[in-house]
Amino acid sequence: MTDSYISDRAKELKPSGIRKFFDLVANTSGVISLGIGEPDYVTPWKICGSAINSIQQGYTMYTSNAGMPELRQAVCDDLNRRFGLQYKSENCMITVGASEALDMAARAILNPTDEVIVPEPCYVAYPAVVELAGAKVVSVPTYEKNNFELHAEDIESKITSKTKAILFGYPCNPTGAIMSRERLLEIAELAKKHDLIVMADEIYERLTYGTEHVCFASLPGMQERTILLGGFSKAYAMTGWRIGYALAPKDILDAMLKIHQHVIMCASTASQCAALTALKECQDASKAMIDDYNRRRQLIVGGLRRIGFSVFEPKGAFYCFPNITSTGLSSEEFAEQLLKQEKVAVIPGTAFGDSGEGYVRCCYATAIDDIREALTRIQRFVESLKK
Amino acid sequence: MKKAEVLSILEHNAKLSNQEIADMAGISADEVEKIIREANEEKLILGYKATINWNKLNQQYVFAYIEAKITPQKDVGFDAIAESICKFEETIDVCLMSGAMDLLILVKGKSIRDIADFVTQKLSTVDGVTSTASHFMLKYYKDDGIIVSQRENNLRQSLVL
Repeated sequence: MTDSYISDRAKELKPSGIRKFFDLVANTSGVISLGIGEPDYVTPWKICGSAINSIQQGYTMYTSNAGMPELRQAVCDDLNRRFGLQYKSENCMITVGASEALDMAARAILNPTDEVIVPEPCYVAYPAVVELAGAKVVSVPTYEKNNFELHAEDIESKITSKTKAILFGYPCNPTGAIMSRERLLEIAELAKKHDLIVMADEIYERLTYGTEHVCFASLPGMQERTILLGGFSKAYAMTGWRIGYALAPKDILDAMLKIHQHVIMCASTASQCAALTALKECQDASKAMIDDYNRRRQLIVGGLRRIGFSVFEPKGAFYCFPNITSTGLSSEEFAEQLLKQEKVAVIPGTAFGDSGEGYVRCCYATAIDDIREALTRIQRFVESLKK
Repeated sequence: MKKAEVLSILEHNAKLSNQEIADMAGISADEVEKIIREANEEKLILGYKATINWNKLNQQYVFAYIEAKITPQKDVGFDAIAESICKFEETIDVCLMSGAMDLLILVKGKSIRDIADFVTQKLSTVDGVTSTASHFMLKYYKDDGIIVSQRENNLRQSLVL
């Protein structure tokens, strides 16, 4: 086989910075991983039971392309109720995770000459999805001193006549940052002024601690320029079910649906039944998990600060993003040496963009005893550096 | 309610330091120390223990639930008899129940014979105990809130995200 069979587009796609790291982790035993961004819970049993029941009842065929009507309506009702939105079923499609929703959104709106503003550090798939759609990523760094919030003035200087959209995810993977209403309103102003679409990945929206999430589409005039992406993986510990959704103005949603019809057909039927149960009957189970993440969040932030790191307080998702520059190591050196010396896996901040240099991502959706042991090992590692 | 939060954290993991509990509850280590001291004094905390999967050790124990019917006594009802049953070292849990039986007693012994001796020679001879029914435990699936079999399995595969 030669390289010549591989498309230019596939060749140009950068391998994930995390991949390289996980290959290292996979070959080391006794590792405590703060690496994977996944709940350590299994899916609440009631949700699993409803999927099993659906199969027994004969729900084994395709659903409508856009998803089960009851589920689409339930997703709209839930968002409308919590955020004061006015979505109808025709604005909603059920997808194979928020990942598919993101891909459909990018493919539906982007032309090859378009530019998309993407704040960094960000989820590894954002730049890849934009590039696969043929468009150009324009990175905008966010800073610890600004609580990793996206500032309108930082975006405005990057806007050109080719700018089509802004793509962001808050609560943020990897920083754990959330956006205040004031900052989001500034972005909304900018979107209006320059006629931009906003792709808002709100997959972590239920995972906020002490602060209510502000849904971008709920800001005045924004429902008609927002593609809202979400899903069930994080709040209901349903990562393996691959079930998410997209909400958008009808003409954009119809375009997304056209692509979805050809490449996906529909999301898994059993997963859709499970998702409906999650939404309608499992808020308590979800809240119990989120309360527990909050305890772990405070445990890891407190522990890392006592070791001596400057740690931005994450108010959402399940990541913390300590500043490791005091060790004199780069993000990659820190992560690699920590793994080799103490068998603790964290992800170098640079995996999420150049502006992640000086940080590492620690996922605290991990057993409490593992977090405690990881903190002990990290402390030992940091002390060894001083010698 | 910081007291309930501290106790709830402690209930799930009694090995945490005061500082760790303080971090998790968002209060100071001194406050945690005070709450725990008071909870000990008030007998809100009754003890600290590990949850052991005895099946994995060669030295296995036998557990049984014993239902007992008893004749309540004047003025004290079931309490005096229940409290005297609690004093047998074989008993782990002793509860007054609604329904057909009066007391449900969890006992632990080194053999079936141990437990049989306890029931026939000790429990049945207590004044007021009118009948017993023994149920030997065959397998633990969930122990003190922890699913026994899941603790060892890591089903996760590596992926990129």
